[in-house]
Amino acid sequence: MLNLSHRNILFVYVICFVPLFCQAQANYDGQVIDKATEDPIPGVNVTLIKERIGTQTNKRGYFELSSEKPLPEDTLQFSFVGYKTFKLPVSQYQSQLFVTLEASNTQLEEVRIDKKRKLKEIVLDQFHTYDLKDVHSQAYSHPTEAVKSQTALAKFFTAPNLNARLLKVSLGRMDLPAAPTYAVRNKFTTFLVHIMSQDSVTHAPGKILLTKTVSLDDNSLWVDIDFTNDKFIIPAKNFYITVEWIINPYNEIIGVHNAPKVAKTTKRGYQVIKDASEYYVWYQPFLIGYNPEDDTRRHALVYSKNGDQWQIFQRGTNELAISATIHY
Amino acid sequence: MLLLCALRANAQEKLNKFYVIDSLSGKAVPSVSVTLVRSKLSINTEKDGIFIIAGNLSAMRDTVILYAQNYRTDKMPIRQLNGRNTIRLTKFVADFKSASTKYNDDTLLNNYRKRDIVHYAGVNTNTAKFEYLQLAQQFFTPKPGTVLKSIKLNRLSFGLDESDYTWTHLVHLDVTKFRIRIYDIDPITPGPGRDLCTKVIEESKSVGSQASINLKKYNITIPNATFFVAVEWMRDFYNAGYSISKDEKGNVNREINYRPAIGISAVTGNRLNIWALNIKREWEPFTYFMPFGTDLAMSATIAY
Repeated sequence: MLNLSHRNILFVYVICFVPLFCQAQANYDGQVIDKATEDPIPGVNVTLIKERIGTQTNKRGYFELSSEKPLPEDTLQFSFVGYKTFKLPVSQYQSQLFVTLEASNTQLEEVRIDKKRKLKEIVLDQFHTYDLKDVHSQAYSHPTEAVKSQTALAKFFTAPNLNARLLKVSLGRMDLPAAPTYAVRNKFTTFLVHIMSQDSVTHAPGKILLTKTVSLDDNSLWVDIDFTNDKFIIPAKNFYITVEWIINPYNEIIGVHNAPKVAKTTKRGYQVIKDASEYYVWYQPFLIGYNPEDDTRRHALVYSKNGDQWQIFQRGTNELAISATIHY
Repeated sequence: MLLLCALRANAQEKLNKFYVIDSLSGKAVPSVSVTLVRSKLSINTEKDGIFIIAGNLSAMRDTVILYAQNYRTDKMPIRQLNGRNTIRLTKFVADFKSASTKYNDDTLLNNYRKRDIVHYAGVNTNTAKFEYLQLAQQFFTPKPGTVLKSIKLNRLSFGLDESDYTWTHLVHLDVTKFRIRIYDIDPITPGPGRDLCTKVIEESKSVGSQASINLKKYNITIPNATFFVAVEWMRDFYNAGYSISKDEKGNVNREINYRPAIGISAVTGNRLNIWALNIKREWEPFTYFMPFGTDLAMSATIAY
């Protein structure tokens, strides 16, 4: 199996995919993250150099830039104080790009690492940007899947010690591709994140210890949910992080199938004549399932809720992109 | 010819066939909206003006409403149809003053960005069944006496490009037809009121997510400082498809769902400007997407 560094992943992203600039209007979006920490960088200036339009990344490092008159020779530029400027020809752009910026001052980076060490932060079930996207080439295949529910999914975690403090929950949120497609792209979603205990008898999710409502209004794949202000201490080593879906119009995503047949009335009664559209509705968010590169890693234990009962959730990939950053 | 209770009919049930004709000319009235209020079933006839209701009419406890543009609405207990095979609709003549003044300044009302649209009305979902005959957007003009020149709207489409051979076999999933209605304000409700255009405005074989409709030839004058533009669903075979939804117990419901689905503007206003015509043919505020969906993805260009 190939060992893909972040830089290699970015290279694969930008080189292997088909350019999209041939449309009358071009939309560019993606997330800008710190190369060392993989934290999103808010406030990055994103500019189309020749067209002279630009925007800034939001708090999730997400940007969206729409070009009314796209120029095939144009270049996307990402610049921010303290980081090396990165330029990307639009011909190499791929939808929902992860752009990794490298700190321009290595001394700053060392300070940051020292700080982390003092805080004793660890990330449980850490995932990386390259886990969140499909990569298919002759030499390497890394499929992902949309993991969704209409109730709740709970992922099992084990902390090194009792009484760890929860700092952050990160999750991968899958987006749907742009047209032509079989589903609408909806960037808006609201859902609940629960921290839950483990039931001592069933070992399934037990009581809800803390709940946070999360609202998203962009298509960022990497979502950080900050718990630092909650000052929440996880009482036991074992716990669950649960995503609960809210079934309401805000979270709707409409897709279409080719339905088998539809009936039409004739003089002899009604009969089946032709195929038709069949709309279906899913509810956001879609989480990301993936296969970690390290095969020795234990597969994620995930439960889904069916009525009042929790049951093991079967899926096609081994891991679910939910991580917990704790301090102990 | 359309069967009103297609999904409920079986081989043993009696099929009652009706012809809807113009009371003066005796010719078939096409695209008549036939609605069973209690059963919440509604279809539009095709060109032949024929529809079928399955079952014993004398035993049914329901109300049927027959409606066609420019005809008086006919409403009666369904048992009154028993033994009949012809229904005559009476045309009414509306008095309209055509616009003759020259107008220069164009104004675009309720503008929106196509790429921001993510929600659509017209699909049965897990939370509600779409049981409306029309959806109307209310517009506000700078002053009374303007002329409606054109409208633009966006609907659910999956970008299935006919020129791309990989999608050709699915292009028909995106094709639809619908009608546009222009209404004055009803001073009592204050929703859509009388028609401001008696001509049939039909967008047929509509492909793609955006429809731009030029209304200049209709000379539509807006008498008040507000008006409504409605999409009228053609609930016939051409638009018929299905929808899959789940109830609270997880049971899957597969129901007839008529295209199109109309986009909801991502620009949220201070007031709700969407009205819906329900099965009883009564206008009501369309609250499904509140508070984030206050307007349809529909803009209008007026001149004054």
